[in-house]
Amino acid sequence: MAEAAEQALRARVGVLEAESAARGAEIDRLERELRKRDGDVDGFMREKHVAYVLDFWRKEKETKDTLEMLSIEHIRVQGVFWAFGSLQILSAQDKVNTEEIVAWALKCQDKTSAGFAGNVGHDTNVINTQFAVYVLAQCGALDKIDADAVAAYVAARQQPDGSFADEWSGEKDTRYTCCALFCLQILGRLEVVDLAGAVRYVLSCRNAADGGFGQVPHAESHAAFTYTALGALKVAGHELPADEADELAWWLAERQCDSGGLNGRPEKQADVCYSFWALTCLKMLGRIDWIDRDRLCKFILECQDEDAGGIADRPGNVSDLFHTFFGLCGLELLHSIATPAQISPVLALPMSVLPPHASLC
Amino acid sequence: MMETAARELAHVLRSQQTTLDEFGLVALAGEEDLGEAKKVFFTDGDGGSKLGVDLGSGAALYRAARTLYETGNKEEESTQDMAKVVLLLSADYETVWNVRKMYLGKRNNVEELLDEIRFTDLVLSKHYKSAPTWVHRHWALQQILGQHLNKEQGHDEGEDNIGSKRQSLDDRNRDERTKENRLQRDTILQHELEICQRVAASYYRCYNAWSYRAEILGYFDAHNSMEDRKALHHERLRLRSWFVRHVSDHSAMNQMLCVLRALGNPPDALEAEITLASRLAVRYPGHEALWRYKRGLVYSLLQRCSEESAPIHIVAHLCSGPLASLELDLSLVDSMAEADLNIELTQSNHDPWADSGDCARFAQILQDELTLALVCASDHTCARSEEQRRCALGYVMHVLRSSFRVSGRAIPSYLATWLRRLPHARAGPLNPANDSLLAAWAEAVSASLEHIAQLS
Repeated sequence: MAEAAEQALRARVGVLEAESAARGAEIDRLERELRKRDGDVDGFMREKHVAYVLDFWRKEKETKDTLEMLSIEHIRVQGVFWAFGSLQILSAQDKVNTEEIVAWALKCQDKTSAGFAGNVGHDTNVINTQFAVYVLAQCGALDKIDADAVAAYVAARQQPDGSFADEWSGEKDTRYTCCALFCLQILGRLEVVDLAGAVRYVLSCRNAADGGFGQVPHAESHAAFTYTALGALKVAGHELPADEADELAWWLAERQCDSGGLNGRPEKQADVCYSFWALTCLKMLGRIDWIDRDRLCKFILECQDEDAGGIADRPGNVSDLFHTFFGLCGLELLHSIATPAQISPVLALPMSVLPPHASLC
Repeated sequence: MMETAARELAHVLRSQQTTLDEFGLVALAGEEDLGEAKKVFFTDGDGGSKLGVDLGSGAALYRAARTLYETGNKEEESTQDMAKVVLLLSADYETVWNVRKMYLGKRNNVEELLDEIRFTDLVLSKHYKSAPTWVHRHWALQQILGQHLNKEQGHDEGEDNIGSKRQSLDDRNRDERTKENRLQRDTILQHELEICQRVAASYYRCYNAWSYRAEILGYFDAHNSMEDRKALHHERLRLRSWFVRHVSDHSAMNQMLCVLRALGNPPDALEAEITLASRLAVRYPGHEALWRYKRGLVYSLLQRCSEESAPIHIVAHLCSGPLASLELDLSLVDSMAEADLNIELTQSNHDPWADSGDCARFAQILQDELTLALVCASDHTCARSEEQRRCALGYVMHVLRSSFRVSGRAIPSYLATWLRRLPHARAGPLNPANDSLLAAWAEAVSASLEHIAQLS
């Protein structure tokens, strides 16, 4: 009798939680609607950001005169993703030639293994393969690659312990796993790998004392690696038990600093990139209201580079593409800017470019 | 024109590889047209030699080196030397690291692999954050330990004797080699920890360095090797003296948790570290790092405890007894703040706790910990008191939650719903809502203590 009563209570809790999730989604949708009506939050420098990204695009092609520019050549595919992603959020993607991007991205593919490199003539790895597939998705050109071949390349990187590794060094961490699964999710080929093994490896990187995830087992919990871990789990269809989700959300909420910005680890300075990584983890856990959204929005706006455009890591610093992209993603998740490009909290791509099989929450 | 400078750099890298310990790009303000020879600077000092490159010429020099490298025969030593110049200037260039791996892998020579590790020392002195450099270093280390030093090595208390008691000359030679390998292995691993410490000192909280440092602990075997126990003990001392002076360095504290784990989480060591952490947390109020570290330590302790008895019973007993009648006496904070930080390190193999399964001792530590946290949570007078109170309340809740978890019990709803009061937790010192929030937390904590008391 008591057992039946308890079951009834649990069932009732389940129903209420489902209702509350549905209401959350509805509030999300309405807030986006309202934002489209009201326009961007005050102080958002839309035009400057568009100009900044386009300027970077042009300069990167024409001149390579500093060591900084030269030393990011090998991850150009990531730079292209951040730049094009920024333009999509800013609704300015029409200003660049996607044919050119697609042609270049395809040249980064190794014809033998089907993996991608970060630039033409470089070595392949899972991370750059994911970014190349992302760039092709952004440009609506996924049909230009052989999905089975790319998926086979990714699958070949999986290790007996379930992790994914770099083919040159054998190095493995949550990031390789995340990139592998995100890539397969976009390609609709998750079934070619051992998902249970991948989940097992990711969970081995969880720190039981704070609920966060590190790069490798026992490494310090870190908001970016928590994103890679949680994203991988989400794609693999693994939900954390409620008390572990609470633990993690608690740790994530404590990333908010007095400045309103989020840091990546205890007692580090706030940095704009965590306005996506930590925030989107809270979003995935359905606990985005555990931080003060208004103050985070204010922090991101303060990180805008008034002179050059773009967004910096913190107020007063010089902007860069990486922080511009993640700052914009953060503002989109907060519903602070008017954009048709709703960003997937898991995959960090606009929902509109995701193939139907790939759209997660 | 820059080619000469690139070749000079390659030459210095080769001829001075054993002494070079620092590389940097040097801004030569106001000096122009120095000629090519002056692009590369080399000083040979007592503490090791330093290599510098003119910052203004960096890009041109890099381009020249890359062309020389790309057009060269990858099997030739001179091209491989040029690869090092490229990497020194652009350490994230993974493809070039991979070419080095193939080259070294083919030659399979332990001395060359050790030189490669030394080369990454130099690269990390400038590009400490470079993930591909750390990855390459890890690869070289694995080659050395896996393929060269491990082949004939048994543990000093190992199980390798294959039955025969007669030792042939071959066997004795092998033992000698094993000993040498063992020594070399110990030196290498020590060096890895030292490099990580060097990076930690010049670049605060470098994640790649700390994450690598945690992985290095995986090569130690405290269970079977006295030498490894010593090495771990040494790391423990190094970490302690570091974070006593850097009380917000949570990375170092996480590494301490890893060291203790590698040692098997002996309760007496956990107890000593908890005492030290508590004294620091009171002396330097409001540091999330210290309270997080305390959470990690107490979690490890509770896990040890669960082997003997259920922590939840101990906690329930405390809540119904000593904590229920607790007087929040702030003088406890004062006496803790003045307490000595030199807490003796125990390193005996014998675990004084193991014999008795000493529940009373667990109970005493938990009682002291919860008492101190509850006092800190009510202390409005210390510096950063809001932060301190928040950290302390969070700590109490963590101990309560953890004691359910490690006892294999579901976390009760009053400990879960409390978390839902988190919104705007970090509202900041200027927010008037903060005080009432902390008051609500404090209420939730005392309600939870009362609930748990009923379990006993």
